[in-house]
Amino acid sequence: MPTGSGLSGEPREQFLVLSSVRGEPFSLPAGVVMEAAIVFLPIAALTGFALGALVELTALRLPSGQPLLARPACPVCHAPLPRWGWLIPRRCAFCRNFPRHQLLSQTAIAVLLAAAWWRFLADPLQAFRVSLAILFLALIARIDWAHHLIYLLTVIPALLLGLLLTLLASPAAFLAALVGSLAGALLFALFYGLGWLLYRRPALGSGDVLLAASIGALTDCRISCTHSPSA
Amino acid sequence: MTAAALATVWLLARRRASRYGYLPYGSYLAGGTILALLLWGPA
Repeated sequence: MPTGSGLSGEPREQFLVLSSVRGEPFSLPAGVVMEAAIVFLPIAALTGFALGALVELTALRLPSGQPLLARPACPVCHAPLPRWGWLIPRRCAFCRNFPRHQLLSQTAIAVLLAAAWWRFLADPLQAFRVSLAILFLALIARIDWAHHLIYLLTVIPALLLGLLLTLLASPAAFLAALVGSLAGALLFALFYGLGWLLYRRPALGSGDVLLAASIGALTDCRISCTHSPSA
Repeated sequence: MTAAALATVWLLARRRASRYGYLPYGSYLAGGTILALLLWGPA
């Protein structure tokens, strides 16, 4: 992160030029940024850890058809766990299994949310949008990795939120997200057709096409299609 | 999407997956998107 300094001859105060993705660079005194980071980053990490538990719980319950609020149980021996067992990973008292995947998911999401708030500290709306996107994408990735499924229940809210939250930024951002969404969906519809031609069976599911549309809405056409944000 | 495609091609090249097997492409896409969002920000 580039640093600057005050006028020559005056007490030199260090400034941090914070990146603003859509607007002008935004300068804050380095001390203010550090204080904000010291306050916000642990809160973001703790919130990420708790929300990561919710993501892991949803990823376990949604494919199995269990209600989300059912009492937690050990995934190996199905022995009941304490009510708060979904929030803090702990060893099962019966089979001694430790939920490593839960701990890994929660830690990864905590780190990602802290990174998002560090990266977009100057723009809380951007930080909120990236955090929300990370939560939905982590849920989609977790379920797809474990069960090879992308649920419409997870991908459609991500698409709608991705589009609606751009309205808070600007109408131009909404338009870019809409174009990105359509481009992503069309690209994957093309892949779907190609897969059908090559393999004579669906190589992709409708969830993949909707996921591409969501990614287009979250990142806009510029990033999702070309990977060239300066284009 | 580029990162996800490269990860898939790498798996195929290493013979860790076959053309007819399941590839967790949605997970790669989601991971690549998280990386892109952190690097370049949302729309």
